[in-house]
Amino acid sequence: MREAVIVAGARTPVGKAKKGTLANTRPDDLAALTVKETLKRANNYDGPIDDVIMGCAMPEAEQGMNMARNIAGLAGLPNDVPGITINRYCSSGLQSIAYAAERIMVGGSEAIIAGGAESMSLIPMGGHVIKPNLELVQNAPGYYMSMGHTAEEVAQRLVYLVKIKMNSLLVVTNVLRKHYKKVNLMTKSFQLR
Amino acid sequence: MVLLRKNAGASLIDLGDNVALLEFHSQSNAIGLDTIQMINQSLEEVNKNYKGLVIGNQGKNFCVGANLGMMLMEAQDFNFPELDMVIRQFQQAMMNIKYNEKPVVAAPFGMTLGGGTEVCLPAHSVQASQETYMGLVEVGVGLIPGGGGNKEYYIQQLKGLPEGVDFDLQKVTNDVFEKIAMAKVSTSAAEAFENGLLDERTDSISVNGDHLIHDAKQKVLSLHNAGFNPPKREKVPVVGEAGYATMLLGAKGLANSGYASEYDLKIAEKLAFVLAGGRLKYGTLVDEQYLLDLEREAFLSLIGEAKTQQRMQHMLLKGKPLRN
Repeated sequence: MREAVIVAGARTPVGKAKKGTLANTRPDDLAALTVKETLKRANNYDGPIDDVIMGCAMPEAEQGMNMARNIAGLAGLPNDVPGITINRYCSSGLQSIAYAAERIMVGGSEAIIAGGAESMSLIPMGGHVIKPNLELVQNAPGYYMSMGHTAEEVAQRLVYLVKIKMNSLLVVTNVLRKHYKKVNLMTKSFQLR
Repeated sequence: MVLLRKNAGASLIDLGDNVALLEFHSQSNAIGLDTIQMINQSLEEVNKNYKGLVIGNQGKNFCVGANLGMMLMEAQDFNFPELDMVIRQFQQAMMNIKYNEKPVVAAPFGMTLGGGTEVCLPAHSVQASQETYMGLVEVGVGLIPGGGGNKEYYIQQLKGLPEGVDFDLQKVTNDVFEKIAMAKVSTSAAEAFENGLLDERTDSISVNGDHLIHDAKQKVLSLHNAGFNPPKREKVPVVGEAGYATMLLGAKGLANSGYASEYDLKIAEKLAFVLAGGRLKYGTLVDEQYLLDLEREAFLSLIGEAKTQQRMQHMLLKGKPLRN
């Protein structure tokens, strides 16, 4: 199986939710800027792109419909570049990168733009309209558990894991960080103009 | 002033100028069967011989709610048919106020809790004293409002919304659910407007409490002179099953965070079911009587619970709510 590599990466600055300077900026506009910047960082790549994969946890309103395809258009990519928006909640962006890597490794694609976009100022947690399934709410409400509560659960259930394994996780993280620094792939945020 | 009718719970008094006054005077002005009977008799009398009715009094408080002692005794004797009958009559009396052919103006002041608020909600207009502490507080004694309060509070919020404009029904229901589930009480008449218990288009405040009955009487006369017509019977849109699930999820979240006890959650579950209109499709239009039936069923099932009875007993003995 062939190897997939990350050629370039970028992210937007992070602001305070609802109060920061980016609170009223659309996530698709921000993501389009990021895509442009990434291509710039990849030696102004203008070759073919097989797909744009974007992760989004609450895909509605400003970040609704097929946002990945919209981002491709806003970033000025050719009209024939397809887009797919995926959702695995908080790990959506990471998952889109994993999917992109897998597509390339199996030979299905040559170059993919992958990442995630979310505005926590414009779209509230859970979305604007929440309509949960009664069956799950009554019998397995954990499916809808909010983030604070999930953190409590993790802390309670994995208290031993937290104590014993955190050190080893820390080592792994440090090694990864050094590696990324070395090959200059650290995804630096860029200046918004 | 001429006394027209009287029983142990309330009296009907002639206020002059063809306006009558229904005065509660039971202990703490709690609503019992005699009060309910007097409400119905008063409406009958007013429709025959008067221009309208004021519901008010000059006791310590307007009304502290339904007669808890009587209901607890019946519940402990497993006398549920009797309780069913009382709640049915209470609901019916409130509907009679709402659709009465002559104007009814409530004049609350001081503590206007539970049943007291339920009397004000269907009245055609409310003339409230500045110091009015209003709220549907039944959850504090392990119950939900039983005199149509859930329905009226909900309808009152819907009334403010312009017709034909698309809005999220769920947000309205959630708001009413939260206020009843948290037993929210206004700290003034002004706050009762903010809470949606009073309506700016029909209700007003008397700054001087001594003028309250007079102001309410003037309001009856002005409604009469303006050619009063009772409200039309209209169906009510409900959020149904999806909305029920949403409210339940919110309540479970609060319980998870430790803000609500397990039993609070059980009460909230019943309240959510009533406000959602049961397991219907979102936006279904239902009769008011359907909502009253759901409310009565939930009320009766809660009053049979040991923990509700403990809460009621605690309130009667100590005068403050028990969190069990």
